[in-house]
Amino acid sequence: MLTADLARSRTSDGKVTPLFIDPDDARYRKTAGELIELFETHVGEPKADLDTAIDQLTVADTDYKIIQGLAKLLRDECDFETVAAAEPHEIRQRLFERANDSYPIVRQPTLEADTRKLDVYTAVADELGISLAECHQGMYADLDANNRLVRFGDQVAESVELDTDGTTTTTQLTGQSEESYTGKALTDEWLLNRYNLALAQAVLYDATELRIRVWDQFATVFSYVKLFGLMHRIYPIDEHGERVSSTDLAEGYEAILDGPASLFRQSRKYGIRMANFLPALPHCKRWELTADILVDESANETRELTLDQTTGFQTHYSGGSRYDSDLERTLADKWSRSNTEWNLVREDDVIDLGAEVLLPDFAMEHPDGRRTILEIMGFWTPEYLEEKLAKIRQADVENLVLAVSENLDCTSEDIDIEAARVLWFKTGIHVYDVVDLAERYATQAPSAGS
Amino acid sequence: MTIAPYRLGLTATYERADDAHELLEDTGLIGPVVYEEEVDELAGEYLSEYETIHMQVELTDDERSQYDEEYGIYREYVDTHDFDLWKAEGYQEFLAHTSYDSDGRRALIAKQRAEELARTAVKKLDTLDTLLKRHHDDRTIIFTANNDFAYEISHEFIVPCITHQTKTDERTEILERFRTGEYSILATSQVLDEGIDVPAANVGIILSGSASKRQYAQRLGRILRPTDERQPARLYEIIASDTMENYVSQRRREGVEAGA
Repeated sequence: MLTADLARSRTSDGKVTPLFIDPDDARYRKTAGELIELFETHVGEPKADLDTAIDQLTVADTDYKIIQGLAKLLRDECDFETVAAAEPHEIRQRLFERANDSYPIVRQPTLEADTRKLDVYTAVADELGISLAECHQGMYADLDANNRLVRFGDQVAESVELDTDGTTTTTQLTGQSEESYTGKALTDEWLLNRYNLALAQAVLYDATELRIRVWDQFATVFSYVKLFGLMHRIYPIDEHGERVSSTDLAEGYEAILDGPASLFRQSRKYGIRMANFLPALPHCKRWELTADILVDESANETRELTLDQTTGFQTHYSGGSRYDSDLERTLADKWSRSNTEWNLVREDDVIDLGAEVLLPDFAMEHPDGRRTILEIMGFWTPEYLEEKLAKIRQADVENLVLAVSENLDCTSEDIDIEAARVLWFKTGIHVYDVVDLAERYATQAPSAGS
Repeated sequence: MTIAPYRLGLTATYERADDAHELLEDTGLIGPVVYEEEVDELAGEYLSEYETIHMQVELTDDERSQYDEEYGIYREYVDTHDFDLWKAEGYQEFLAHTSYDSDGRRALIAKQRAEELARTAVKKLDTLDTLLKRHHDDRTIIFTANNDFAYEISHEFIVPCITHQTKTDERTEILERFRTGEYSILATSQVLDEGIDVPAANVGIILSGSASKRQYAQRLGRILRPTDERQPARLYEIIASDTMENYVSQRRREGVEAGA
C-alpha cells in the first residue's frame, strides 16, 4: 500500500486522475530492477542500511516520490525482526545501572579510568551469558532502524529460525494478507504494474461509493467481493451497462459497493480491503469502475475516478477458483468434525431476485431433502443489513439465513435489529447454531426427477 | 458558550520562530499579550540561578571538506536563484523548486547533509567528554536534535536515552530513575520538549538544535527548575564554528536572553 505522502494524483474538472507511469519505460524498468536488487542484497542486514541505500537513489532525482513509492511496495513484501542474543531492554537497563556507579565514562579517560567502559560492557555480557560483541549489538537491536530484514518475497535470511510449521506469519482475517491469493514473483514488471494499481488504490481510500460493471469473469469478481467482505448490491445489466429486470436478460453485472469514506467505523480496515479488491477487476476482458472520491469532507464534495480495461492494469491475483476466508475454512473444518446429519456444501450459484442477485456462501443439505442457504456477511451497517433482510422477505427466499459478525459493524449507532434469520457471532461460527437455523428455515428441495 | 465573559491564557511558549504567533493577534483570534515575564527575571527567586555557556568546536579536516562541498552545492543553487531564504516564503519557494528541478533536489539534500555534519561534529563528543568529567556528580541532561546522535551518545557514554521511539513504559522507568538519582545522566532528542514531566536537572548540554526559540526556551525552562539543593544551573551549548549553526544559535538566543 502507498501511504498518503507517496500517493500521486491530479484533480481537475471534477475528476481525479492517478498519475500512472508507463511500465515499459526503460527508465522506470531500470529503477525498479535496481530497487529489487537492493532489497535482495540487504536480506539479513539492518533496516537502516537498506533505507540509506534507497535514499541514495533519490539524491538528485525529482522522481523520488516514485522511487520511494516503489520501495514502499517492496517493503510490504518484507519482514523485519529484532535479532539479539538477549532481550535489548534487559541489556541496556543493566548497562545503565552499572555505568551509573562508574561515571565519568568518557572517550578520553584518565589513565586509571581507561577500562571503565569496557568493564561495564564486559560485566553485563558475562551476567547475561553473551559475548561482548553481542552485548554491543544487542543494546539497541530493537530499534526500528536496527531491525534486520529477515524476509524479502520468498527469500529468507538463513539465520532466522522458522516456526515448526514453516511459517513466520499467520493470516487472521479475510484478505489481510495477499499471500493466499497471489502468485508472486518479484520482477521489475510486477513492481511497475503493482505501482500503478497502488496509485489507484490510494485514491480509493477516500471513496464514498464505487460502481463496478463487468461483462465476464463474474464468479472471480464476486468471489473477491465476498473474500474482502465488501458491502455490495449486485444487479444484472445489458451490454450497454443498463440495468435489466431479470438475470435471464443479463449480459453482465453491476456491483454498487459502499466506499470506506462513507463509514463511521472501521473505515481504515475497510479501505484496505477495498484497495485489495481492485486487482481482481483486470481479470475481466471488459470492466468499468466509477468511484465518488471525497475531496472535501466538510463540504461533502466529491470528484469522480473512472477506470476500465483500457487503463492497462495487470492483475497479480490468480483467477478462476474460489478463495475461502479463514472464517469459511474454519467453519468447514469444524463441520467435518461435528456430528450432524446436515451436510455443508459450497453454494456457488447466485440467488436470483430478478432485478438483483445475492451471493450466498454455503448450502446445508439434509439427507431427507431439506435445504437451507447460508450467507456469511462481511462488513455491515444497520441500513445495509435491513435492506438485505427486506429483499429476502420480498423475494420469498424463505430458506436463506445470514451469519453476521458483531466485529464488522461499521456504524456509530447502537445496534438494535430484530431479525430472526440472523445468526450473530463474535469470532467464529458454531456448527450447532447454524444447524439450529437450518432446521428452522429449511425448505424441501424440489425432488430430483420433477 | 462558556460562562466566563473573558478568558486568560497562560503560556511559556508564545513566540514562534516563523512569527505565526502574530497572526493570532492580527486576525483577532485572541487579544493582545497583557503581561510578560522574561526568564531572566524569574531566575533566583522562582527558578534557580543559571548561567549559559557557549562553546565552539572546529570541524575535523574531513568534516570540513565534506561540509564545504555540500554547503557549496546548496549555496550555489540558492545564489543562482532569487530566493529570499530569510523569509518563510523564500524558503517555501526553494522547497517547491526541489520537487521538479533535480539540481534543486540535490541542493536540498546538500543542505541537509551539511546541517547533519555540523550537528554531529565529532569534536562535540570531545567537548562532551570534558563536561562529563567536570559534572559527573551533577544531574545532567544532554540534548541532541536527532535520534541517531542520541543513541550514539548512549552507546558511547553508557547513558540512558529517550527519543520518540522509546516506548512509554521504558521512558517512564528512565525518568523515574533519573528522579530518584539512580541515573544521573540522561541523553535525549527533542521528545522531552513538551508535555512530559521531566525531573529537575542542574546541568544541560545542548549538542545540536534547530532554529526554534520556542524549543530552546522550553529546554532551558526544564533545566532551570529549582533543585532541592538550590544549586546554580548551567546550560552549555556546543556548536560547530563556521557553519550554519552559528546563525541558528544566535537566533535561538534572541528568544530567551532579552537584552543580552
